[in-house]
Amino acid sequence: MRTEFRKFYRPGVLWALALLAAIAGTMITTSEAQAEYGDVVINNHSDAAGMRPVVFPHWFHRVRFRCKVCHADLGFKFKAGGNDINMVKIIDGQFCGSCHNGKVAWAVDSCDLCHSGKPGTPTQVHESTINLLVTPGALTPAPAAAGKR
Amino acid sequence: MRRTAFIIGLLLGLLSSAHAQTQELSGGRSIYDVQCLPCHGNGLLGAPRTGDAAAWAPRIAAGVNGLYANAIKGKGGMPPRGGNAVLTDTQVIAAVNHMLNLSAAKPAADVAKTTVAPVDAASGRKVYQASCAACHATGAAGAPKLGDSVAWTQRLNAGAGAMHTSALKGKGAMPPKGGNASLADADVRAAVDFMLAQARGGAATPAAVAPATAPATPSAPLSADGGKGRMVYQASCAACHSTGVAGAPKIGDSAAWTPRLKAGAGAMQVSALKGKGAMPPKGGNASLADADVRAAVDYIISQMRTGTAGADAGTSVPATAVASVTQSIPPAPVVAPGPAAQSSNDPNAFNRLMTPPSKRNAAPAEDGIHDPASPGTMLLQAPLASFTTLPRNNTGNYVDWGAALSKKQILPRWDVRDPKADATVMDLNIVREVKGSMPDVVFPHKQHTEWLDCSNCHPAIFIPQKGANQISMAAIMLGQKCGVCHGKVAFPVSECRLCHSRSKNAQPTGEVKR
Repeated sequence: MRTEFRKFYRPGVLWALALLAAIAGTMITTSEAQAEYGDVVINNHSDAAGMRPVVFPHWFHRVRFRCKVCHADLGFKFKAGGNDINMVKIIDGQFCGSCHNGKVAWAVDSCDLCHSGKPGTPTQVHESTINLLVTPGALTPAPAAAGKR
Repeated sequence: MRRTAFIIGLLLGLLSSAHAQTQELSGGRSIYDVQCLPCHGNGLLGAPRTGDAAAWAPRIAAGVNGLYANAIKGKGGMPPRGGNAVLTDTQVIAAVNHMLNLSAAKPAADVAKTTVAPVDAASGRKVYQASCAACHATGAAGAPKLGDSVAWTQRLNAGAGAMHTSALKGKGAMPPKGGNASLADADVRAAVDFMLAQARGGAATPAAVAPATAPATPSAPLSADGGKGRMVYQASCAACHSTGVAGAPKIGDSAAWTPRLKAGAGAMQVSALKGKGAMPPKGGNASLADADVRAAVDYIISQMRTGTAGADAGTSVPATAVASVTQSIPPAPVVAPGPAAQSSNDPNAFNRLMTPPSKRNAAPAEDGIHDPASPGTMLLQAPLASFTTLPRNNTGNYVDWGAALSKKQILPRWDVRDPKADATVMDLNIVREVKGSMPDVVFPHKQHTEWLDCSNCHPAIFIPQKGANQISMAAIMLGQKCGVCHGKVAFPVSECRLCHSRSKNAQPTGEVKR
């Protein structure tokens, strides 16, 4: 009787424990960030330059502009981090700089308003379907980087 | 040890920034000039004239606290806060003090001490914050902004001595000594030197730029569901109560709230309605209905209770810390170590993968992506402040963007420069017959061309030719084809029937099949 118990149920118990651990891990990582659907984190250069990554709120901009304005007229590709934006281009009036020039929206001297993300957060479209499919935890700030600033 | 040092550093940083903010904004004279002078300068609407000691004497005799209260709440022809609901209590009181000073009638000495920052002869920074920041922090009235090296360099060409003279005697819109005649000449020079040091060091202070407000939409009454308190909280309370700025007790910090709750929820609602300490009445949003404010207080209390249930002892602030905060003037911010308990960790939640209503549309400081330690995060608009009047749905931003656009509740521009340009809408439905038992997909060009240009999709994503596009749900979920937008900013794939919307048995109605 006892041997039978070991033979049939012990692997089951192990599997259940493993499953529980996996679920707990997923819950911990997914409960960390509750930002808006479509908020884009851009961290191409920020971490390396000692700045907080940029958080681009799609919702805020779509209240004011149709998709076409940025994605056709200003040349933003449909790819998070795929536009190779840097401050020189912005100051030159390209990309964000088309409006973030102190006339339509705040200028580049308001660093913290765009560079407001948690240090170490990877480039991503937050809450996107593809985020749900990648490894849990890969999209939240690395603990070491988060404590730096 | 490093962690302790980090927390102490964070605490000090918050302390200094919160302190700087309250002082920068509290220039009594500049507020008086804008808000009070139009009536009190001319005696309009029965306002007692500034400088008319006879008119002011009986009012002052009745107690300056009564005057402060009238200025804050309004009286007779005077609107609350002189008609500017954005002003804090401290700012209104500073303006009243300025008016009383001009009227040769001194407010009670103890009150003056608490509201007018005492001048420390040693520190140019303190003088700057008390007397210069009202204009020089924001660039009001043409004042060169602190840290704007371009603006300051031009002036510096004339020499620091000339700038000292300008500051002492006034220049352009700037009054002598920044309007504070009680300053010693040496203090004014120290403040000028401080500003020059900032200009040389480059921009050190973040510009206080408030995000552009949403297009004016009629403020529809909030739906009377349980989420109302939370909406009000996020729009009007979270800026301070999510992080503990200016001594505000943090939401979910049961140690900070428990002593307050002992006075009763009613007393807390009264504090929220009338203001308390650094907190302005209704959190500074005078347009809120009393019931909304009460709902927000109830929401905060409910968060404290869930926090108590879920948090272990290690996350709460020691009672001594709370006591010291309530006694100190001005209130010092308190930083609660450790995360607040998350209600989504409740193992008995209905669906742990679904974002619970209490977690939707979190304010920037609480959303897990923005860094609450960044000064900019506080200035960003909270999503709910924009969403309350928009039609809601069950996914994404929990906003029905298509309906919001078609009902003209949002007026997004079609051209970045031309506000009158409008979309060329193409009304053509494309039907895609799909495998299996799912209903066929109807692709409406109409809803897409309201937002997008043809070139956004054709030909890079979709070849405009029948049968040329292989589309699968797997590709969409991996961010290709429809998934370039759907699942990122447009509604996600969980909303099957919004695309798979036509029964296989339906009769064709002139649509194009692909």
